[in-house]
Amino acid sequence: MQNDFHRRARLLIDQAHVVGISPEEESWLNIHTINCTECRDYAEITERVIQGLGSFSFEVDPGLTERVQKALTRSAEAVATSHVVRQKFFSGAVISLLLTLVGSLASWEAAALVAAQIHISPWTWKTGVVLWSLPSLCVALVLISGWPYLAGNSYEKREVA
Amino acid sequence: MSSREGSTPIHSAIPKTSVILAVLLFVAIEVAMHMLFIRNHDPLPLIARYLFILAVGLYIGSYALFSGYVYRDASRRGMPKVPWVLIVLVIPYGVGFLLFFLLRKPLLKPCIHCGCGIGTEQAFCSFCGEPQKKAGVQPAWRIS
Repeated sequence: MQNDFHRRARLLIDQAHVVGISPEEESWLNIHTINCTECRDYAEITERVIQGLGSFSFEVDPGLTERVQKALTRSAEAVATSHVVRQKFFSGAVISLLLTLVGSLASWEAAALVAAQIHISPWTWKTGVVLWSLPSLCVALVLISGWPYLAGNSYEKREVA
Repeated sequence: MSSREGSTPIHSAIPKTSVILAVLLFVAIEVAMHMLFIRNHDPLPLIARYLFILAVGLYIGSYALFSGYVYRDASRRGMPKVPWVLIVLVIPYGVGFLLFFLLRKPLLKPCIHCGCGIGTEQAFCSFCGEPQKKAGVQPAWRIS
């Protein structure tokens, strides 16, 4: 029971320095510390340590502050660049797919028109258009499926990081 | 009009050879296709035919300009020129050009000693071998 009182008193002493205690707790603590030497000593030592920490000062290397600021700035820039690069690659993937679709349709129509003029068989010009569009489609699909990886390994991102 | 990165004007970003080639291709396609359509008595309306031939000419002519731009820009960035021009030519609908823009390296910086173009991440010049200022990991402390 006595130990519980001491434990509570020390807890209140610590709390008083950090978040503060209620008036009832303060009055109970005052009565306890008047009667208990151990807890009074604990309160005094705590008070002294905290005062000591407050007056403690040390010289900070001016270069260190600059380096920390630079590191923080670089880190913030890397995050911003990463976002921009990801957005750029995603837009690139979508645009390439759109260009492929629109370009393939336009090429199909154009090839049909020209083929009629120069008398090329339908299967020839159709095969030609498919083969012509294939690289574009492959690149668009690679970009669509792998844009996060490509963005993560781009030169822009590596340069800032 | 100038490009966003650096201050290179667009007319110097495209070699003159490419411009000449683009014009020649455009003219050749316009003439050849008009002759073809006229000879075959194509039933296509006149305006549609002109627009179609113009579009084809512009598309093919612009490829010559794009290739020239990529050739010059790739050399400014230390990237292989000929493979990138081939990529732009082989991958149609401007997707090759788009790919170049997505994957291109940063512009080369001049070496502080000899002035040759070197990569921004290079700690030493590839030509004169001199170390570059602020390159590499800087020590946090120095022994005095």
